[in-house]
Amino acid sequence: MGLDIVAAFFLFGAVAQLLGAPIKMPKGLYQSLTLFLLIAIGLKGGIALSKYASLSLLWQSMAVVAFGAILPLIAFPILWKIGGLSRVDSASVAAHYGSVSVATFAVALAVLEANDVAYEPYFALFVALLEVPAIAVGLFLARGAGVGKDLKKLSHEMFLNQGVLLLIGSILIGWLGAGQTSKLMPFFGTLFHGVLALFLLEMGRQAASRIGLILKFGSFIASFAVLMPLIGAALGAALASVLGLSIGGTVLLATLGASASYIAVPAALANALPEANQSLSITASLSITFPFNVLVGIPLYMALLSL
Amino acid sequence: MIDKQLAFELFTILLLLTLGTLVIMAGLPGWGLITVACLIGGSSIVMRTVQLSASSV
Repeated sequence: MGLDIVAAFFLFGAVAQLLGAPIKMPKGLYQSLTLFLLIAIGLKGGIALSKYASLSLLWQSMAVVAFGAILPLIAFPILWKIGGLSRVDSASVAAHYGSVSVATFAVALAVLEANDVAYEPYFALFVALLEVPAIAVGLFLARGAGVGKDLKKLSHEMFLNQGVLLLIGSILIGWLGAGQTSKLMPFFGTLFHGVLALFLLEMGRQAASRIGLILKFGSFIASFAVLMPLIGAALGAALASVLGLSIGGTVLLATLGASASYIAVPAALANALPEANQSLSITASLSITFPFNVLVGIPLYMALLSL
Repeated sequence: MIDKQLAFELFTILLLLTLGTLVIMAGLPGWGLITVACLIGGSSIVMRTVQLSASSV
């Protein structure tokens, strides 16, 4: 399987940046594309939820939340004991790797759809669920029992950050208004791949613009940012197998396990953990893990799981 | 004393090379893993060389 046509735009944006000819996008457009993707994924998931809501989905959701809480617990000792990072930085990076990247998920969706691979259509729910637990675990790892002091502010950042709010809101709208989707889906459905291509063009530029910072943070963090996705993908695939998901669902859960947040978690931790080095976490997740997943990981998970 | 960071990097590189080779042998796209292993190995050598030369000045 060659490079996906949508993912190719990521490479295009990165190469243009590295050649010193960055393709700059107005900030407002980038934010609009992010809103579009979150709403499109949420709506699609909500519509599916209206057909598939069941007790087994509740059990699957609980397992997915536990999965999101376990990933930072694996990442933290690697960063702290082996990497020699401070406790706070280790916890912050671990929280990023326990949470998920909606853009990586969107690329995996696009690849599955391009290859006509079926998947559980309610996966958007899992994306929303996986955004939250890693933030709580990361804060607990950084602060221990002292985290309870800022619980109100923290809960607000965890549950009402823009990413989670848009996803959950769109899922609810899609779920409750499933009968009227013909009004919206020509827009949010048909344009999805094109919007994702534009979004990835900008992501490629942003990822490549941070390459100098990787040299600053050292090769350990680069190794971690490649190994951790493989651990997350393996655990995600194993969990999908236990939950009895389809091949497409297994690819998606492996991708979610492999991905690292660079939007929701930084926003939450900027307030809750201001002493953490945000640049370190974002550089690792955006400039190493995201390209690794888009260019190497997702095609690999697809190929391995389709065997 | 063992350099834990170096050991971790070597482990990651060897794992990527092994996985990449196995995946290629199975007729699947494994060149990405091998390329990433080479990139990490190269960056590890370059960064350590820079650090050494900076500390010796």
